[in-house]
Amino acid sequence: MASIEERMKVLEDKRAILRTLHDYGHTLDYGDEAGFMDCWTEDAFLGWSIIPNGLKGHARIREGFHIHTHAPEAWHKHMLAEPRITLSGDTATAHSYFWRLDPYKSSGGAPEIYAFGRYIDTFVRCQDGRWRFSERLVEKEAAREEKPIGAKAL
Amino acid sequence: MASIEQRLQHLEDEQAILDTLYGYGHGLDYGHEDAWIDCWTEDAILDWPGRALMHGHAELRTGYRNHTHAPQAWHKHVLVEPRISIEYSVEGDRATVMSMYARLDRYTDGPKIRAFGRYRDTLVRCKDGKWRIKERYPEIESIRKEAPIGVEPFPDSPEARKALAGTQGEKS
Repeated sequence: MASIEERMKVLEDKRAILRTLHDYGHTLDYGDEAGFMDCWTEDAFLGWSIIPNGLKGHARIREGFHIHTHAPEAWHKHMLAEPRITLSGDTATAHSYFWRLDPYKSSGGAPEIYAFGRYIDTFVRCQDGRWRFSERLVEKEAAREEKPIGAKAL
Repeated sequence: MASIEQRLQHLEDEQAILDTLYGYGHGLDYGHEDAWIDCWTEDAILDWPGRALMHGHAELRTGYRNHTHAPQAWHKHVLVEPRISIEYSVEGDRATVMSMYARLDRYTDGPKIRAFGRYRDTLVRCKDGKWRIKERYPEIESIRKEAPIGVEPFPDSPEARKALAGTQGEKS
């Protein structure tokens, strides 16, 4: 039987991982570069579907952040739901749903769903105690062809 | 005043109930049949609007196999804002949960919300300690008439007709 301390630690770890999951969307959507970068281990991998071979390491992930749009130039939301977090000591995996909301010219500026899919994530507990992504794979299952208002031409 | 042990148990139970609620969507959307069946008690009831009421694992399995899954059809059963109430009892621990949901699907011009509504659930703690769904009553409050890519049109039913007419919300 796990001790009170051990059981509390499990709950705290899951809450901390959830916080990092939420930080990803908030910092990306609102242009908080330092906050976004602090979500990742130094050698992390970010697998965005629009970047061939993905982004490996802080320098490349920072490039990715600069390529991406942010408020107030473009308003969008990376929504995350139903995170299924599995702890294994100082590492963890999480499978979550995502959908992204954007405004569209064809809808008169009204919001539509740009894409939905699944995040497949791996986390590690770092030396400072924070849980950070060591890998994020983005599985985009559906997307609109029309570019949202404010989108960059990639 | 509840003890530390009781307060911790309550938090753990809420997390475990969430895991089961999320297991429903992930299992159904990605075709994990056994994981999905494991979300239910042996005598569980699932009342999908427009379809025959399912009672027990055998009927649930049939219903599951008649539903679409990835990669044949890509959809998401997105559950948010679960309101969990747990009752502890010597006869058995039970929870009622009210959640909002939206179902996302692929259409020819991009992803859209196909339907939204509410789940009314009862869960119980089973002998192995896992919380499983004993009853789920999904309520459809609004649905899109057009069928998504790879998915049959929604079955005709009084609930579906009300939702299509935008009158489902008048029930309460």
